[in-house]
Amino acid sequence: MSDNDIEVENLVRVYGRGAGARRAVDDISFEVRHGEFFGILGPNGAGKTTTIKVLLTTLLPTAGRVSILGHDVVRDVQRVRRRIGYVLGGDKGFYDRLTARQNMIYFCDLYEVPHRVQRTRIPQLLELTGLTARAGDKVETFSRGMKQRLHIARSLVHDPRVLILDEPTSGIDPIGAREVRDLAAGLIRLGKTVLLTTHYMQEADALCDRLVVLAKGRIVASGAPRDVKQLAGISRVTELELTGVEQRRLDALRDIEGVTSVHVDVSGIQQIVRVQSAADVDCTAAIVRALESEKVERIATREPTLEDAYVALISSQDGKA
Amino acid sequence: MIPRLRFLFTAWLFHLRQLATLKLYIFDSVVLPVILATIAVRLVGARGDDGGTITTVALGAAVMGMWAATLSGAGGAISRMRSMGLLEPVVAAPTPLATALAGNALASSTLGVYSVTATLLWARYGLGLPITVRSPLMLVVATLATIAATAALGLLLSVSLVMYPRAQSVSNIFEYPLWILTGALVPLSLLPGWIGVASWAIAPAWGVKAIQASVTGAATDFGVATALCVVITCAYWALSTALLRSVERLARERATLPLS
Repeated sequence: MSDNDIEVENLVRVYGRGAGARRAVDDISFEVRHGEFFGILGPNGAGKTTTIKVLLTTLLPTAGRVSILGHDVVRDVQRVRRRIGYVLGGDKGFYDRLTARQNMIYFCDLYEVPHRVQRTRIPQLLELTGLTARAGDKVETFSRGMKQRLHIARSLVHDPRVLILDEPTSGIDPIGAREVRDLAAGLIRLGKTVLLTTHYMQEADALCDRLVVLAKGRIVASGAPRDVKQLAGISRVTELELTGVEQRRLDALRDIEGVTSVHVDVSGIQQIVRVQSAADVDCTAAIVRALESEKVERIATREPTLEDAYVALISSQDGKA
Repeated sequence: MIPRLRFLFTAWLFHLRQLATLKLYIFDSVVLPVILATIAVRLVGARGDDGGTITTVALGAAVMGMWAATLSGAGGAISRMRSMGLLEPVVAAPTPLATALAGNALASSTLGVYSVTATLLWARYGLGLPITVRSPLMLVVATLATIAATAALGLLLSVSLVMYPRAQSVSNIFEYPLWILTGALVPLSLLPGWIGVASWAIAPAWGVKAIQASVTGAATDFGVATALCVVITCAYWALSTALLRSVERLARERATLPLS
């Protein structure tokens, strides 16, 4: 038997027919090994959720083969469903006027978990997710972060080996997101294989052993986070905080030798500029010269993050459009 | 089989609890039958009919309320599950979707017990009309059969809602035709013959006949009506399960499961 818990081969998913047909996922392949924390990254519309829904068996693939623990998601639907757990982002997915414990019972029965097992597992999972004290409260009174933790508890009721987390920290406050991240990281220690989709690069960098970056339905990079950073071809990032600099002067930074890309985030009158460059070129002096007479409030050089690599990869794909 | 039945019970119980917090549903299942019963028994009472006729009319009104509650409860259950984000998780579970929806449909119809009880009590004590039921045991059995029948019909209608999220507005138009087809609103004998023939395929219509027979104590009529009600109800359940299986696959093909 393969070491891979998840295998995706040449997956294609097309929505609609004829001239209006849209390829949401376009011939992607990857595998997730047992005990691995695997990430799928990509902007909105990249095909992340479509891929997840195919894995969950709620969407049929147009072409390709997808299997979980050796079971085909089209032919062995029931076997796949018994062996995977999943957390979909957002605060829905419960009977919100029932309590957390009642919802857990509902999902235990839905997954045919015997009552004697439920009696120990439900308190264990509520404890694991820090919800024991609120087990008797209606879910509608829960914060988004608490609902997300309840989703994780719910996803574990049938003790699945593979867990799929679709943007589990989306829309949660930083403290709640950290709690969910800690919980997700702990799943590996429980012997689970985790597949995560997220918009948050720090989250992916911290949690994932390996990942793929999707853009327009295709894989544009894959490997460990450090491999993806190398693939993006950036080795150095110079970050500047400026105030009121004209766009043409910022555009001029792109002409500096060794600069691979320039990204500007504007917040009020403040501009945060990230200049990405090759490792063997120190552009700092040239950047300072180019912005001479402008007010530079801060300048710093750092190693590229996964977010830098992600932005560079996605930007290059947008440039191909 | 036993885990499925246990889940059916859980789905029924929790859906019932959830429904009990919804104002529109409470109106349909709690207030509407009493209003309908008041109008119906006043009309019949004004003609000076006997207790049996008044009771039959009152119970017809109760079935009308039961069906209204089933339509808004069972039919609306799919829309609510979709808007609560529950439809996809339930579909993605190993238990067949039909079992979850059956629990919801049964929960909706269960409040029909209230419809019947409240209608009889209101007519007797609220309106002071003579209410006579020859066989209370037959009435209980007939009511349970009618609950199962309306739930099964609600489940059959809800199949379309998995596939077509906007079909809820269409399903609402089934409220009045069923009131007529079951003979709950007007006795079928007063209507054109083809309506009576069409009603043979409607399980709740046999449920209404069984309820009417329990009022008069006609054991043979009760037995035939109840048996046919049960047989047609089983056919509805089987058809719904088969349809749901293929509709679920179609929904997975066309991506119509999520909120849209």
